Amino acid sequence: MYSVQQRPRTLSIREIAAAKWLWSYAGAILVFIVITSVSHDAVGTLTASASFASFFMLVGIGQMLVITLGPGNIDLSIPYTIGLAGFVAMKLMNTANNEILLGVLAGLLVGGAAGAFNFGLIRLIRVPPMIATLASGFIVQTLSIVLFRGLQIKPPAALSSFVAMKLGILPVLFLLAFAIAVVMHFVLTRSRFGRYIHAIGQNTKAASLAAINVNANKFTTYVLCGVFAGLTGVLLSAFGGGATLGMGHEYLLNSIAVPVIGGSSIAGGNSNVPGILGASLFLLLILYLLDILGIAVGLRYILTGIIILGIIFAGGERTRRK
Amino acid sequence: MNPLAAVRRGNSLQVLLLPILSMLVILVPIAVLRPLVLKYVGLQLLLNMAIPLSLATIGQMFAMAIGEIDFSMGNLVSLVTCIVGTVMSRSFGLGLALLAGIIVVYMLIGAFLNLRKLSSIVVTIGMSFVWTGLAVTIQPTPGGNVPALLQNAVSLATPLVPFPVLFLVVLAVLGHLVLFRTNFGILVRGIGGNIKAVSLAGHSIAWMEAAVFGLVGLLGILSGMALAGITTSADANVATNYTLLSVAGVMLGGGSFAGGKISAVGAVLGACTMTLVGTLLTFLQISPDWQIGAQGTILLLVLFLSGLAKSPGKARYV
Repeated sequence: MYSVQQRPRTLSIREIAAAKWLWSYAGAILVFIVITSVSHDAVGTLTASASFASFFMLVGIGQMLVITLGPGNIDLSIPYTIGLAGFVAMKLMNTANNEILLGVLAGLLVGGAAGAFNFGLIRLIRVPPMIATLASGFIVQTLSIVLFRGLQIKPPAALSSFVAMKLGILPVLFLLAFAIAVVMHFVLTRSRFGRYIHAIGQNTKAASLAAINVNANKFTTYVLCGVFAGLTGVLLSAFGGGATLGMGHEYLLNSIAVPVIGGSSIAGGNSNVPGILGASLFLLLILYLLDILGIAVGLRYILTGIIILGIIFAGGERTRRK
Repeated sequence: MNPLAAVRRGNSLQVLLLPILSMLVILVPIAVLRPLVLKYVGLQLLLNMAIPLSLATIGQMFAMAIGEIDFSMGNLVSLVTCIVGTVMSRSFGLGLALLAGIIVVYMLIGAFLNLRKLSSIVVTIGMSFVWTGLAVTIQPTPGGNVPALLQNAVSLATPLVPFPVLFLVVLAVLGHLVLFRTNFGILVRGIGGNIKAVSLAGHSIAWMEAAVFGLVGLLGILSGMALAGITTSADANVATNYTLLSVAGVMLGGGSFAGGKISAVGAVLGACTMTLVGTLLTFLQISPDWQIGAQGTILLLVLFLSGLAKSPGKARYV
């Protein structure tokens, strides 16, 4: 099946049930209903979740792009790239409002460089992406430790207030991530680049024979994934009052869980941006629910793992890594 | 004879040349800087930490032999230190039941990976949350009370040859025999090489994957017990690096990521190399901050060399 095709005019119930990404919205709504029954401030809940969901969306989109490239393609260096980009950005801004642009650009550049490094390893050293990004994650993490040991620089005041701003009930962060998601949706479904990476993910050899420049498109994809991780790093450290070494850790599992729950196949070849939004909200609302129920940290970890596993088991990937 | 050419020819003994060479590259400078490490006590201190890591690496090797990966290995090993250090000292039975439960969960994972056609990386990353959650619940801050039996077991005073050396040799030989001299080993390598052929020969792949993952869990548990014996504490985050280091050890040892091609002796050598990197940095008076970066770089270097050996001048799609 081609991922880029005409949308059918009417959907049968079967087709709706088969659209896995719709389930993430159903799940999000269900969890939200549960939250409204235990919490008095449901709108506040949604607003708070939406801010954090934007980070999930950004890393999720990046990881989804890489996963779309086909079996074995995955970026495990995202958590460490988030950390390094955050540190570099905060250091360059050095709490000065007029250096914000420089810092943000540097953060994006760090992310892009990490992505380029990842692709370089995969291409030149000819190692599987999982190993290459694992090893580059080691190296990026070491850079963070060595360059910024124990140094937590506060974000500039203007940037902190920007990421905390709300338009109506929706946080600016969420609107930003949403706008990026809309753009990426059209890039994936309407642009040449989008069609190419789907083609590469479905059959690399055929794509190559169809004169698609496989390496150039893969390079762009890994760099984009790095840039999204870099952006997340900058925004996350602005949101959390400075960069920390471990701030990217939870995004290792979540960057993979978000696209998978959102209906993209881990084996690649298809992508689904609307599903990313649903899955991000769903996961965040679950975390929020566990939080307001006052569940201890350890048990929260266990439940998060079990819920994500449950969804993946129920969904049952029909294709697997070769 | 050119070692790279030997790797290309695939002779099992010669395949070990690269793992041996990479270990020597680390070991020789250590021996030059501190000649005393080659004495009985020196070797004991040098290779002590290779005991738990090599157990975890052999576990990872079995997962990778069937083309899967265990991304929760480090979290499991940490959890086991908490179980033996905290639960077992209070109630031996409960601790034992928890460890048995872990093996059952691992077997279920193995079976479900096959039955539901799930991706092992996604499932095991999910499991890593469960293990860490359990570990934090059992032992929120490092501490505990590791049974003396375990502490004594890892510091046995064996005659002539230091215990870690003896242990590593026995583990490598045992692993090799299981892989190459038993029916189980043949099936394991068969699944990695050609899963369809094994299935057509009438073997249940789901049962095999359950058995292999049960073994992975068992080796992870043994690794955690050894680590608890050495560090004498229960710590929910003590072994988080083990996930990455065990995968690196298998790859350093000449194992293939795609499954099928595997070496137990190589995996143990790879685990030793990864352990020794930290020691070398200390002796060179380089801050331990650089350790994981150095381990990652060495992994990439060795893979680059073995890649050169495997398919000269020919790029493949990854």
